[in-house]
Amino acid sequence: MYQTISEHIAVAGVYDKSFFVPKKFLWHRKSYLIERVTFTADTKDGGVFLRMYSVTSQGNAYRIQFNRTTERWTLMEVWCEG
Amino acid sequence: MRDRPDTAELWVHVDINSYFATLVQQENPVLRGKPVGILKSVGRTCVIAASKEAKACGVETGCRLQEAKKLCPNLIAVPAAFELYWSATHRLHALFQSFVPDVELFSLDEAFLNLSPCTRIYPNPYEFGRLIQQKIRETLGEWVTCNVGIAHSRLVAKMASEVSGKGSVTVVTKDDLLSFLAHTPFKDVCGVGRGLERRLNTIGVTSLLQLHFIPDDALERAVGPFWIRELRKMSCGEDPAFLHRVETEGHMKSVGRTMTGYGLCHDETVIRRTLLNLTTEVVMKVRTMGLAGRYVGVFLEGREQSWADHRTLPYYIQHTKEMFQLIYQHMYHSWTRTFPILRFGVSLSHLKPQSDIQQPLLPEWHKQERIERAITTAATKFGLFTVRPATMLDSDSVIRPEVTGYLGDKKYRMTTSSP
Repeated sequence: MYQTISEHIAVAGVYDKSFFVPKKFLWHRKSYLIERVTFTADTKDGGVFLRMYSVTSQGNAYRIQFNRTTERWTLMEVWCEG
Repeated sequence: MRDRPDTAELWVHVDINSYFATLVQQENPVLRGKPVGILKSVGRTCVIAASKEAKACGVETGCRLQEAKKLCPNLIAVPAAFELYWSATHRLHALFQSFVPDVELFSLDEAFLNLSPCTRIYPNPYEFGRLIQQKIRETLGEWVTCNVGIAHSRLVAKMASEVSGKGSVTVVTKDDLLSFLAHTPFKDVCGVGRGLERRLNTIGVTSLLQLHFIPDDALERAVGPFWIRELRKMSCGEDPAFLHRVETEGHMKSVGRTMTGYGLCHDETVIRRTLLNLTTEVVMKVRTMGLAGRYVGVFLEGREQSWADHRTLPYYIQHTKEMFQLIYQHMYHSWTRTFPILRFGVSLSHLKPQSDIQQPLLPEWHKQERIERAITTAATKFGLFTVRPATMLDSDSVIRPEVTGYLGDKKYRMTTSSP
């Protein structure tokens, strides 16, 4: 089940062919190396543009979101077994 | 089956396999290869989509979570992420348009591509189907597979993708058509539901081709005057009326919104708030498309009972306040509620462009119009329900718009939301 977190995080990544690819994120002073970006989704609510990245790190799945208006990163959800 | 249907018209139908569940498995590798059931949200009990692994255990769309768990004890229930699915559909639409200019989304996970004007670029339809599959995997991810059906009509192309195996391409040529129509069961024929299938079975018809041997009077007695005409066309592999394109008709004719609650609701405050919430969404969509309507409908369902009412007005409704007053004070309050409510629905129909409507002269109406415009401007900039009535202040209880598998509001979505 996805567990809602909704906390701001710091993200480092690279641009590949004009597309940002997150490589690691910092959450609660712990660094998480992103192994794979499994999915991206662009959403819009009014004039607020959001990009959601589904990523895996150390075998866990995370949904991290970039607010393209405020340029803030948020860890939205974490997949927890059981 | 040959590589190319020898006809001028050529349609490709693309159907993504187990769309919601496949996308969830794509984004979360932990779930791949496991039975997954998608619920509308946490706490819901209806499985709205199932992965192929869950389907193999007998879990069907629409079944209760409790029943699904009995059939498949390892089933993993995951809440739906509708905005994610809509984003994926948007990307698919852009991908298809990069191949052919004429693309129509049939539902959230299905699309028709008109290959007719592009046969010089793609001379081999089977190879085109394979190319589409490969590009979909590159766009959405390696776990996403689709069926591709190719034929001279949209009906047969869709039937072809329904009967073909997961992740395959099926081309139906004119030489194959009769055999194909003879062997395709009604469950794979678009538009033929269980009721119609039962009525056809009573006269011994189990496939479209058999309809050629049934006289008109016998067929009309079984299915009625509308279906006899449609079924005759379908028995020749031609498109029935409901598969004809409607884009040329311009604007949407009706906008509605339904919502099933978490449980039976007795609370008048919640009933009022829910009706206001749904009305706000309907009017916002109608206004965003520059339309107004004069047929207002409402329905409420309990576990077994239901109540519905409607009004056809001599004037057009453009404001949330007037539609809600009509629904709540005139329609709902004229009825004495006898059962708790589980499902709510409101609709606004007989839509017409606002530019074609004479605006009222009443100052009160213009005051309300200024309020509605300000709310719409705020919603356009900061998101829907940024400004909302005090009864909807609790943001957790606000019912937000959601995309449905049928993509009934695709005209609204395609014209207003482009992430």
